[in-house]
Amino acid sequence: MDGHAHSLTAHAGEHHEIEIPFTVHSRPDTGLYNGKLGIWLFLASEVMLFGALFSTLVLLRTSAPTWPHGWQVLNVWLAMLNTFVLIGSSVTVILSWAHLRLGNLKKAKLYLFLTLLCGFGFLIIKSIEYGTKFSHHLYPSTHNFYATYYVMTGLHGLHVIGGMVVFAYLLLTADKWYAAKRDQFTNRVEVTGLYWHFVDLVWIFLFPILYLL
Amino acid sequence: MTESAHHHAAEGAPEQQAGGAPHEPLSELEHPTHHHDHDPGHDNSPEAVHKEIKRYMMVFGALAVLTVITVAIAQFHLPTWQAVTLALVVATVKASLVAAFFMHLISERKLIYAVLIMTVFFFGMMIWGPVHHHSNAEKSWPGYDLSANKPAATATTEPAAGSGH
Repeated sequence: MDGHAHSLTAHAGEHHEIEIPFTVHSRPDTGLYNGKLGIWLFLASEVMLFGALFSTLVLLRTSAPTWPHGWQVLNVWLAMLNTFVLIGSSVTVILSWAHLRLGNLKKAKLYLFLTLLCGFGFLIIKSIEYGTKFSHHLYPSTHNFYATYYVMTGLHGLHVIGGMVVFAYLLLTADKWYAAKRDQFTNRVEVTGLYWHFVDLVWIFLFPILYLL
Repeated sequence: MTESAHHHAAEGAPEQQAGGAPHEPLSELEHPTHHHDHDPGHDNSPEAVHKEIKRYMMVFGALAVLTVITVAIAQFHLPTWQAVTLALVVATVKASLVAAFFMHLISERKLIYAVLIMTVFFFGMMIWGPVHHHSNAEKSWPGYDLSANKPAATATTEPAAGSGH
């Protein structure tokens, strides 16, 4: 924690760059550091984005004369494996955050790396699934079932990639950030973790709805 | 980003806000909140963090077991209505575990709950729309026949069998 002594007397002009406010300490009126409120607002908009797709799926499925069962046409076991990979990565990212709070940067970096690895694992398994479908000439245009399957898992996959980019950045800059602004870095890992748990949460619904029904 | 900022001190400084001038009310407020600058939900003492880690591992175990359960249920090939209900119940329990413990919503600030209540409401509206449409379509339009387009669709209704194309 940095001293508060300067905070009330500092003038913006003394800084070479504008300091981002409330990256560590809670803002008095919200009780939150800004990053946390920011990520939750973003996640709220993400719920709307995926919500529109779930809504579309309900509309298409309930008005379709026939609709295949996911377990008839998709690989349930690969998707189940991917569920474990993603849940596991949720645990590793939260362990990374926990170890930052314990002051153990080395372990925190190890868990960040494992999270990144899980992300790769998820994408590899997903691409095996896609590859099999493509080789059987099953495309989004084949049937509304495949249209929704590809769009929803595709958008979810993009979110996995997005999270991995941030994890890679955090991992590469961890030493510098941790040395200069430990608390801010810890919060960044927490906030990225919140996003990552959301991606996990979306998959928790996608898996049964697409594969098991 | 902010790496070259030399002064750490101004993290919570109200002066950093746009405008700068009316910082009186905020600085008044800053002192009472000083004792919980860090999220009160996060006790950074090693004992507390180790306890949390144990809890996270238990949640992981529960999520893994529920995943196996939901796949096991699917093996029974229950009628659609029951299958959908069971799958959604298990998924909701899993999602609640993730939200409550991994996203620590179990102890969060009021403002975040407020944001989420709005989100849940609008999400609910989006799902309610097509469900309501489906259950009322035939009532609203007597001529509306859900199976009317059956013949046209038969060519593409069985994508599993269609693997030959």
